[in-house]
Amino acid sequence: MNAIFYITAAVAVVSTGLAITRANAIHSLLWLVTSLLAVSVIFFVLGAPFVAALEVIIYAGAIMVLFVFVIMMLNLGPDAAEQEREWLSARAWTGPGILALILLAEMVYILKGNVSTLEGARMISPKELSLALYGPYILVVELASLLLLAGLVGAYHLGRRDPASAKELKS
Amino acid sequence: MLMLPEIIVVLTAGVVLCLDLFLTERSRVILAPVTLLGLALGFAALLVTPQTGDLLGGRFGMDPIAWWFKVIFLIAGFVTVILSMDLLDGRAAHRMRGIGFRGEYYTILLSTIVGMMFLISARETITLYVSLETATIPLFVLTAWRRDHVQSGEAGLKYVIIGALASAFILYGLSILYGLTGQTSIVGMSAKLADVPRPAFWLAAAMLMTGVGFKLTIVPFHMWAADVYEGAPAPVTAYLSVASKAAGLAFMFQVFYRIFGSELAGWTPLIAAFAAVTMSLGNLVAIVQDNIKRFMAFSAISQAGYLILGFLGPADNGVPAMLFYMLVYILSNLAVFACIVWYSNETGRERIEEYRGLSLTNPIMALGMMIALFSLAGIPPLSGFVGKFFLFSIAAKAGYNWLVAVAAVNSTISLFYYLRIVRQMYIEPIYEGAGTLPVRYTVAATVGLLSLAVALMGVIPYFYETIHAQTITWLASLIG
Repeated sequence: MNAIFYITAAVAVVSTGLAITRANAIHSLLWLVTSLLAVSVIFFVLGAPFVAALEVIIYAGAIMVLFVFVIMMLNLGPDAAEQEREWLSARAWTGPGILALILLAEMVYILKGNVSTLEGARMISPKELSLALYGPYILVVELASLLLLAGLVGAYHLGRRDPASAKELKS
Repeated sequence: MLMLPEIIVVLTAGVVLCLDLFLTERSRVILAPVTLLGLALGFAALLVTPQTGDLLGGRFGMDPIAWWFKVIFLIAGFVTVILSMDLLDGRAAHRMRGIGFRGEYYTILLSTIVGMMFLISARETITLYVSLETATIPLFVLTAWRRDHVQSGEAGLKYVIIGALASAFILYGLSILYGLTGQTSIVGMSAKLADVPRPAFWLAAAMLMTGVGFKLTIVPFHMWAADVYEGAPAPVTAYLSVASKAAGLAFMFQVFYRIFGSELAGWTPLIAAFAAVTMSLGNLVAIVQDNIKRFMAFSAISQAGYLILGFLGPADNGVPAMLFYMLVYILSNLAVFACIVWYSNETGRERIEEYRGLSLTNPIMALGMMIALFSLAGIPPLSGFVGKFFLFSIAAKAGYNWLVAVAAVNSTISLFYYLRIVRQMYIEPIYEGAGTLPVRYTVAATVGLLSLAVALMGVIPYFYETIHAQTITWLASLIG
């Protein structure tokens, strides 16, 4: 079982390294998605399936796909189609694809076998996790919600396009 | 009951945010008084809160050190709101573009104060990290508050990038410690630290030191400070230079005293080196500064250098001395910034030579600013001198005589550059046709009270004695 951990960790390190060294944003995002998937597998073998699922759904799924969409949408124009074809050339996705296949193979192996965590680790069920979050760790949850609220208000302030202040000054 | 001050401040943030929805632009003037009322109630609650005890199974703890830090955070927040009021309500003669949006501003400010208050009370590393982020991330937004102002945006961007890097270091350091000890509670972690392999421990310690250095602007992790201080709106700069620095010290206390504890002994040469480099570089660069906010940034860097001298000695000397100096520093710095904000509001001037003749037009404000600057420089009767004296004596007792010499030379240099401002105010000729600038009573009261406090705290030993006595009893209970 430990072999799986080491293979996954190697995948994570390699893909993260490539993600931060690629010059092309799309290529680097593809590597980043692979890296997040690898981290999710690591969470799984550590005995945290709920966090692993969240990692896939929120990071690799929602946030990264959003990034890819935004980058692709920002480049509208006659050259865009040509550029996008180039981004998705075989050379760009084979690397991340192969690493993702390795992760998939590991997943299949884990799900078929009867051992699912590293030695010494215990599978934590979502119920246990929620009880911990809303029991002893309630303070952290509340603080995180305050942080998110402040972040949301701040993002709203920085992002709003409202000329009220400029108009107010002119009058 | 223990958490009452925090709960009151959080509720105030919620009330301000909701009130903002229902008010017209004109009647939003009441938001600042509501915020002030909330902070004052929080302070009152803090006064009746018992100074020891814990909640939530020991995850939230209260002790005299936390109590004094909360006093510092609440004072800093209260004065910052007073300083922001005139600018945000549009009462400044020199209007700034793109400032306003009071409800959001005060909400964000209040949430950073809450983050800082939880930071010093956290007894568990996850809470510690999340509260540190709550205290830091909203500050990025406050720095970039003037959306149509290029420099403010630049400052916000620099702060967010370097802040994220520092936060990554802290998180990595804490994760290594968790990996080594298998504990998230600070007590449990600290108990197991003696047995962990040294190289891994040093790696974690170096990473945490980097993060702390960023918050406290210790050289070489100071590079963000000057640009961020210059670009941010003046009241936010005031807040950054006092509250954010106090939060850095609080985090350093948590990491060094609670987590590392007895492992701290081998650190002193490193801290001495950091202190020497920080105070020297901060001072030398401050001499050539032209913009007063940039100047205060380097002044704040060198003050951080003096501050960490307290870590050289044993905790029962260092903790009260550092707390006292922090209190003195925030009061002096806030008095200086009250004058800076007021002058910038009335005239839009932020360069040092533009302060010329201030003593003739507004003698009281100039006097208040001079007292505060002298306190920062450490002139004898003022509290800055007393604070520095305690810190230097700790370094001397620990055998770092060379460091005391460096610190003394630096104090002399700092006197020179603080006097540059005083010279502009008192000796240089006045601007032609300059008349007395109006001073609102809130600003006058703030500057008056702060400079009075700065002057008295050095003469009346009550404050230091109290801090000393309270923290000593607590430390004794911890050791014994």
